[in-house]
Amino acid sequence: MEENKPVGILFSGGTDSTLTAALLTKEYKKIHLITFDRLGIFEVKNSEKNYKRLQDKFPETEFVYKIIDFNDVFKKISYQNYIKNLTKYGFMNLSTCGLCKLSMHIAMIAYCLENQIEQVSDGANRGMEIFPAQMDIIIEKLRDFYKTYGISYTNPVFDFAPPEEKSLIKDKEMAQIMSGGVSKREANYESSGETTEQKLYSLGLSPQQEVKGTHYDKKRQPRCFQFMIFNVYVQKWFLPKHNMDEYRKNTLDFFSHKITESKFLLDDYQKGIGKGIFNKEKT
Amino acid sequence: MFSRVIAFFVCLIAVLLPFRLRIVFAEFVGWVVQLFYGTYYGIINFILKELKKAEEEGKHGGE
Repeated sequence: MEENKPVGILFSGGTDSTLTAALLTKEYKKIHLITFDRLGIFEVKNSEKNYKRLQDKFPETEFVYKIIDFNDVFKKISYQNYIKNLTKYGFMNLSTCGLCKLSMHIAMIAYCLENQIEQVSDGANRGMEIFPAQMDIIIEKLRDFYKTYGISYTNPVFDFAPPEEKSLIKDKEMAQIMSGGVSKREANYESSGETTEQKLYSLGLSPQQEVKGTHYDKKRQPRCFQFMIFNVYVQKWFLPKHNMDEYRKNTLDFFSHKITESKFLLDDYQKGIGKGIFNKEKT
Repeated sequence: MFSRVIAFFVCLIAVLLPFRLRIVFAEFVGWVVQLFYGTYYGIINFILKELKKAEEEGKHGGE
């Protein structure tokens, strides 16, 4: 056990990040649960419920729960060299979810540097690979990026099975007919294996085996509609004319560039310039 | 094709908007889509329920 070394977790309060925290209690005595907040994200305090549940379940572990405002970081990362990026990458600049997560990682690195944390984890899972920060190729880039600051970045729940795709239509057979007989997730991955929500249930941290998308789940993590524009871009504009490999390639190009471009924020931070945009703790 | 044209205009507007306005625009699109899908699936579920009811009534009527 890494008795004296703390770990930082990008904590939304959802099933994946809560399970990540639960699994890491075996290795760490002190866990920093960091929930990030910015304009466009609502009900951020919802994540506190699963923090309290974790603290009750694992009393021997010290959990440090913080909400950090990263609005300025997100703004800088989304809009720096905007015209240049717009002409080069076009609508890929609307990849809000990826840019938001990248901003969280940048803010997390600053937090780690401030608090001498050398290990960071999150709840990235292979079942959500349409989102850039959950894509294996981007995760590798982020891992290298963290390494340059002496921080190790891991994804303990990445290989858990993705949850079964849920439909708003109650009749499952009808839903299958309408989606061509097989859901996208089932087509890409084998549905066998334990999901994060099942594991969380077996650990006694969830009331039922399937919670994703339920009212219970929604009340335990922040609400955000910012993915809508990104969704329109990917599902309705890009993918109807291109395949997934092209999407992955474009995403890798864009985010490799964005990671390099964002480095100056942390370089400035280490020099003591622009410290004000980081570690803005909310009470 | 039609949905791609709409997608193009949504993306075009979004890409030109500054930080705060893009956030407000995304929120607006989110609620519109939520309302659209909520209505759509509500109607589909209602039709399915009525079809099942009619099917069961038909079975009982045939006995």
